[in-house]
Amino acid sequence: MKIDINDPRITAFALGELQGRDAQEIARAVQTDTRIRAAVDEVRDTSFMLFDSLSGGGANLLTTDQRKSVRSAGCGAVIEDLASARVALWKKPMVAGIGVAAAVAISLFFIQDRKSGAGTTGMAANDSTDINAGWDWSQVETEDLTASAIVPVSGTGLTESEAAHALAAAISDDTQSFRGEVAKRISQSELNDAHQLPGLIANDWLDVSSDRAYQVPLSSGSASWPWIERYLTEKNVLPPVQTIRIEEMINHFQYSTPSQLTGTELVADMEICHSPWRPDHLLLAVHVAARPGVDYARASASLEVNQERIQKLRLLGYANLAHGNPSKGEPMAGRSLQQISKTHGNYVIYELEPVMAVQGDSVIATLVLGDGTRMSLNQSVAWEGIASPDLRFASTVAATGMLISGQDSSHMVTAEKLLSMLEVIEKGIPASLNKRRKALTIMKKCASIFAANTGK
Amino acid sequence: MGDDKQTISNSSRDTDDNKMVETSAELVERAISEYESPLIGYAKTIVLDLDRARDVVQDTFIRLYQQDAGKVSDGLKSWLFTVCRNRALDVLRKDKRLVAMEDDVLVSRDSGDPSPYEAAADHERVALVKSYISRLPENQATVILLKFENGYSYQEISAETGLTQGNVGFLIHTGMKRLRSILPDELK
Repeated sequence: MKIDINDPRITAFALGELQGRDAQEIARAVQTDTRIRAAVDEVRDTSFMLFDSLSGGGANLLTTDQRKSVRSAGCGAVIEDLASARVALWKKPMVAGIGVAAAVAISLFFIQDRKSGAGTTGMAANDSTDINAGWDWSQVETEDLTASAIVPVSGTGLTESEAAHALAAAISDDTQSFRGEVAKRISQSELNDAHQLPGLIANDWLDVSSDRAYQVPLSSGSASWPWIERYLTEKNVLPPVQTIRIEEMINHFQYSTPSQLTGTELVADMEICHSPWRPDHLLLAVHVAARPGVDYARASASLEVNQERIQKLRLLGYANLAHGNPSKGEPMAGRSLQQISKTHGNYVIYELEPVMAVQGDSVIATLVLGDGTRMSLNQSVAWEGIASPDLRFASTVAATGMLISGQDSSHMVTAEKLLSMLEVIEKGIPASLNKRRKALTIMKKCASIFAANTGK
Repeated sequence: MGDDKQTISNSSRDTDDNKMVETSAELVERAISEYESPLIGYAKTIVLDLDRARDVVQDTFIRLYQQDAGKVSDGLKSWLFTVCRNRALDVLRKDKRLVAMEDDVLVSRDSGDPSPYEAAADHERVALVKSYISRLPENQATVILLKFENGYSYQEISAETGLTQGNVGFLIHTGMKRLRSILPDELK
């Protein structure tokens, strides 16, 4: 069947969005119809330029010459020594005459299945000298793929697994694909699998010391919201508390690109408002993102808090894993995933307990990026009306997590309070932000079910 | 195309109404479509350089031509990532850049920071490209930016905007066509 040159599937195919029989049909047409091949190549050339210009990290696409080389290499021998032939490869696609005959040896390595001990087709663990490179994160077991991103507490002896390093790379460099894979795995899991997740211990309040810098987490996992959605939509019940990771709920959504502070590797925003669920407390939000086109591998950010104004601080989310997995009786390895994503920022909220007797305009907190760039705030604003829509939305998501997980020891977040917060933010969400609007429905449902279950 | 391999599967899949019989060339074309970007992203985590990653993936696809399409097709993704990884590690070994992946190894990386001139040129280019995108109808511009600036898939764009995936595909298709018609030569 002849493909119309204006068929949108051509563009979808060129962008890797076409699957199954449609993809096969277009792939066949590319081979047999020069018009279709030219159309596909044209889209790829344009997408190369757009990705290269807009995404900041260069297009993850082959060049035009490389694609031509692949197509014409079907009748040629394979260059075995890529490194030495690097410059010449796409200039000499017809390698049959060179006399390099390659027998392609395909070896499938096996990784140990931790549960059964049986071999599983997949990617091999690396040499001990190469623990991070070479892991195909898509082959990582679901348990590790959906692990939370926490800062390991020093002195606990927690170790980082090889899978954690691979996940760190995935979260940093391939965030969209990673999140898609996590959502897919969760959608394919048994609902009861969620009960096997390790318990969470919410962060405790810390006494503030002006001599100490509090490291700002730069990444988060992405499993929590898919679990919450599944339980609510399939069973109309709240999910197990082990699935409720507040930092993952918050960062399931995208926020405005930070612009207040520009460092060498990061850009950042900071904002302080009155807590909507506890008027005598404050919320401090930090939003960090990688600067496009720079090396962000060693990026860091920290918070300095003035103990003359703030006496206690707690990080919302990033609950420590309970030592020992109740279902397995095993100690859990902690994971430190502190590499920021190339494409997705990280939004973090702290709750602050002010020193009540002190008024005035001295600094409340200072955000310090790794290169020393800093900004300070000495005022807080009202949550309703003045705080940014992003902070209002993110704090409402956090409040939802605190309510349904029991991670609010003060029980200040009630279903009624959450519903009133939702009412406020609903007015401010543009119609185009469909994902946020859908989230409102989920959060309202959480509040309603919680209220029905507890009478609170 | 020349005498590309015409290895046609004789497996029982021939009678599967849901799957067409693929030649090696068709399989490679489909593999490029679906896995080009994730493979390059993956290779980049190993070789730490975009150009080298592209070389590795080019080589991977070339090797796919050597395979029996019928045998590889079902485990295509696993095959591709396995070969890609092996080729990437070969590159590192030959360049003697295979070192212990500790924090310190990051020090050996060329930071690749753009010079101020390059950074300024990059910003100018971004602004120029966006100025052409802004000439498109709003709905086309929106989906194109979500796709190429934010890296969203069609599905994610659909979720974000409330448009159907089919609608998203059509808007991107027509938007890119229109964009190509108005872009200056230096951006094509």
